[in-house]
Amino acid sequence: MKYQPHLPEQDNEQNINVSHDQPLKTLFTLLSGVLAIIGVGYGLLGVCVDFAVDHLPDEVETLIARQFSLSDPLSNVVQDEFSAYLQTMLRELQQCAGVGYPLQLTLADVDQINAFAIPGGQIVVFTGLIDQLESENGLAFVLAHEISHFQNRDHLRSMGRGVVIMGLSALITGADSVITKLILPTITLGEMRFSQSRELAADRRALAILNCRYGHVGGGTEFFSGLLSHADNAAGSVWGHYFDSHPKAMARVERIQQQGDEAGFRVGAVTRLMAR
Amino acid sequence: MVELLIFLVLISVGYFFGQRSEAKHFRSIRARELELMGLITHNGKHPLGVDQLGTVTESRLVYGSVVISVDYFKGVVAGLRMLVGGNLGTYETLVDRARREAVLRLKESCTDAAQIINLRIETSAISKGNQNQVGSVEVLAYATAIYTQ
Amino acid sequence: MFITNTEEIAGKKISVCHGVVSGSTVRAKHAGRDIMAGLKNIMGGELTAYTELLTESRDQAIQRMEDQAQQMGANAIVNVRFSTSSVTAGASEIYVYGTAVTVE
Repeated sequence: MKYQPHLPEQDNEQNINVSHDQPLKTLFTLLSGVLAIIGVGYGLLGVCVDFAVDHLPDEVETLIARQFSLSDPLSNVVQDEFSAYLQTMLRELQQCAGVGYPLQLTLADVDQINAFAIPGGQIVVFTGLIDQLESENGLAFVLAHEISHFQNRDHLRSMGRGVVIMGLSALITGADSVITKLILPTITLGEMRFSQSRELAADRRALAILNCRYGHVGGGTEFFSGLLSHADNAAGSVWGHYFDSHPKAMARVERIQQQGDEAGFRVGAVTRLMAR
Repeated sequence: MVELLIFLVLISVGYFFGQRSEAKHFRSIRARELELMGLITHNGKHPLGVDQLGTVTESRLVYGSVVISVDYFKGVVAGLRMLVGGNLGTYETLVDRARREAVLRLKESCTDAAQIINLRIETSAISKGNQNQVGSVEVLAYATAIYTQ
Repeated sequence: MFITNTEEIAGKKISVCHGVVSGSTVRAKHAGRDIMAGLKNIMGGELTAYTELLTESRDQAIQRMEDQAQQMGANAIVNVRFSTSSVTAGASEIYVYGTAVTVE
């Protein structure tokens, strides 16, 4: 018996045991395909979620909201005369907005310029933001803006989509899989665009609330005009998303003024903010 | 945004280093296979040409094993491919490399043997990364080396 | 091409030995089939999607081994062994190897 060996890739033969596709090309084809499917699915989900949110009874909303609380409780909550004054302000604005369920305001001693709303009716304001403002009207606008988000159920909307798509991806590929991790940033990007149109709607509503409370909309743009000079220090902060997802300050000031004019709101003298 | 950036960095690092080391490994495998081509290797129980073999002085169990890790890029491409179905090309090159390397190491451990018979190859994934991801592939090749005078 | 898992091919004489040939594949089914298989796990029964996957992988691996033997100019493969491992969950990995020979 003879022994006549032959190697797997001898004489420039192709390696039979592997698929000969270009890995980079495969990556791009698959990635664009998967992202396209996710995009279409996300759009469809959005429509479904919007429909569900619009038809949700108030009781169910309160029930859902109760499931959420700050996962990381704020450590430097301020409770003094000033925060009581903010609470009163919130009550008055809430009455104007006609929000039925209780809202809570938390003042946190943090230097960053930010305010945000947490599902469940909680509004958190950082002292950094208070220090930026001179008039009560400016602050009232920010609070009215967050109230409008609650009224439009924007939190439920964005949460609904995010939860559903993450759930689907985790079901198909596993919670820790590369795909789920890949989808995560895509969703956040999508949500930012999503929330920008909701931001403008919230601004419009906030103006109406402001007009109801003070009889004019003077000072409404104060916060965002102030931002223009502080945009730099905010960009890298933890709460930087507040600025990313909110339309650029300059354009926003113009939009708010335009919205005010369209609605025929008067611009009057501002009330000074209580000293802290 | 940060996650996306980390992902892009990891995938390009994985692609650059992974593809480079894979090409290098394949070059080395081909060169060494050519070098050890003359060493009779098969997976039958009996040596070839028993009549011309001469006096057998020793038969010994020999092994070769290797553990090769997946890179981030391969993992992502395979993860996407698993959604669509079909051949996971990036893992195929991985196991191909591992098996050929294991057999080569086996041969290198007994270059002066007359024949290598009863070759067996086992594969296992020793460390699975998180959930579905491949961590690394382990291949063990074992055989009997026959030495003659 | 004769493919056997015995040392010899009955009734034939092996004239040339070409060394070890192998075929390997790593294949997966699309995610929809994975989900269906997951549901089937609740009720029990044959997971047709995975049986199909295994058959496809095995056929492809054997085909690759045959192609390799053909490249060598062999006309038979003896002593064929299968080795399977789960390289990754949801994908099937099959390795088949044998000795390529020429029979008269």
